Amino acid sequence: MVRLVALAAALLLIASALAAHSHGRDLVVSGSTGALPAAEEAARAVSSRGQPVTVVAGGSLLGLTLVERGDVGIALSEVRPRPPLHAVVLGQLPVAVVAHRDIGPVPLTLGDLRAIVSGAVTCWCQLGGRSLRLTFFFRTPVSGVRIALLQLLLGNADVTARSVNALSNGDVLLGVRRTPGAVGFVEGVLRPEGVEVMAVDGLYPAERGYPLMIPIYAAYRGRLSPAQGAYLAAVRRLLR
Amino acid sequence: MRAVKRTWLAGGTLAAGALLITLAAVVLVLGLMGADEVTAGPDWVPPSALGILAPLLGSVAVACGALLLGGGTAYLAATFLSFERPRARPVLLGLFGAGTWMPTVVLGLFGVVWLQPIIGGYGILAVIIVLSLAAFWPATAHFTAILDAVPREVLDGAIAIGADGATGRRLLAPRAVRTGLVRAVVGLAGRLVGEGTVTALLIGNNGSYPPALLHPSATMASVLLTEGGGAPPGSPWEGALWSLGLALAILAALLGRALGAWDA
Repeated sequence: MVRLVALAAALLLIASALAAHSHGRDLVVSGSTGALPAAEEAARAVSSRGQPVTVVAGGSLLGLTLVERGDVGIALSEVRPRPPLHAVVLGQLPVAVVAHRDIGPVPLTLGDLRAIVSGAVTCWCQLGGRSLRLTFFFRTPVSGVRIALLQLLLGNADVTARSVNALSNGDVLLGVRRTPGAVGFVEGVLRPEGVEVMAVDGLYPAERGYPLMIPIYAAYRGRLSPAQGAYLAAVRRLLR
Repeated sequence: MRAVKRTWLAGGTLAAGALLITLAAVVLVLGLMGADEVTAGPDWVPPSALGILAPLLGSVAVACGALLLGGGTAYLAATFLSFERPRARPVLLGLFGAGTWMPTVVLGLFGVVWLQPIIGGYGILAVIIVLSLAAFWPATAHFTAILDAVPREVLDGAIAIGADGATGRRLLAPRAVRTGLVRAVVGLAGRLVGEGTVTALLIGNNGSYPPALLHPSATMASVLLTEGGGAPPGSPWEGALWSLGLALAILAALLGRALGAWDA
């Protein structure tokens, strides 16, 4: 029921945002849910200076579709936009590796993560941890963070056939929290509760040099308007 | 009585055979309609692999499993309410009515929070159990109404020719209202095969072949729910999603025909 109400509210929000955009004054931004906190903070800052900005979530791929159709002015995306869209890199977003509390701190490397994502590792004992079955929580194929992580970690190699593909960051956290031996990726959340945040190559997401960073692109059509430029500058200041 | 048993056995065999033909027919019809974005391959791992087999088998497994478990228990409950405890029926059906109005998403959350830790993971089994629960309430009410229409003479006649009351209720009563029962089962199957919300919450949404009871899997409905609207416009992936929607509609129709063969 909560989801249905939330869905109805989201649809109303998108419809009202698109209606406002059609009047030509509001700048409507859509795209990555991982970049949503930065997108909303930048929108508040720019709106307070007299340029109304509305942010609607929906994911990277949906954002790119909407900006290509001209329904929104800017899409924030973890996926590199393709022509005819123009794109700039605004910054990078850390992706935290989270695990079930029972596992405890296990030092992970990028190579270990590749092995997990490809399915080569199925037990924590293969990574120097306890003898516990590893359950890997990933995201569904339409997720921008999934596409970006696959490019970063695997290139063209195949992803494991046994991952649980969750619908959102929240679903990943819920699943990892409740499943002994679980590990997953959560974008842009530095201190998620109830799970163990794992170091990668000895570094945590908030630390400089953390290796699991994915770029955030801004996609737009044609030339940037002053309003778009001001908004992108505000987002850039908030991302690393 | 043997003749009655033979009839049911023949009907069941016919339905099972028709189900197998259904699988082949879905792939064939898609091919004939030129829906060539989706392939007959095993894995659905977009954008690289757009095979229909894993989600198709997942859909059939979920629908058949929930139909057997939910429909079967609902039929037993309906028999109990109709023949054994008719006086308790108004109260119990009233309680079941409350279950009928329960949104499936609430049952899905119940499955995520309570069921998955017990059965140890994502997969088809969790979906079958929760969908069976969702199907149980309305199916019990439906089956009870159908069994109430069994003529009293059928049961009395069974006793008159030497059968006991239980045999009459178990074998002759369903035969007397077979058409109604089969139509109820067909309606239930159509609803179960297209259920997406519960499935997406519990199945793990992994379209790798083969789908499994206790490993992340996918159905056509869960794929459409989680990926619909996200595939890039004009891409083979988007085309394959449309084809998958078409395949789901064909599957629901053919599944109805296959189960309807029971009434032949």
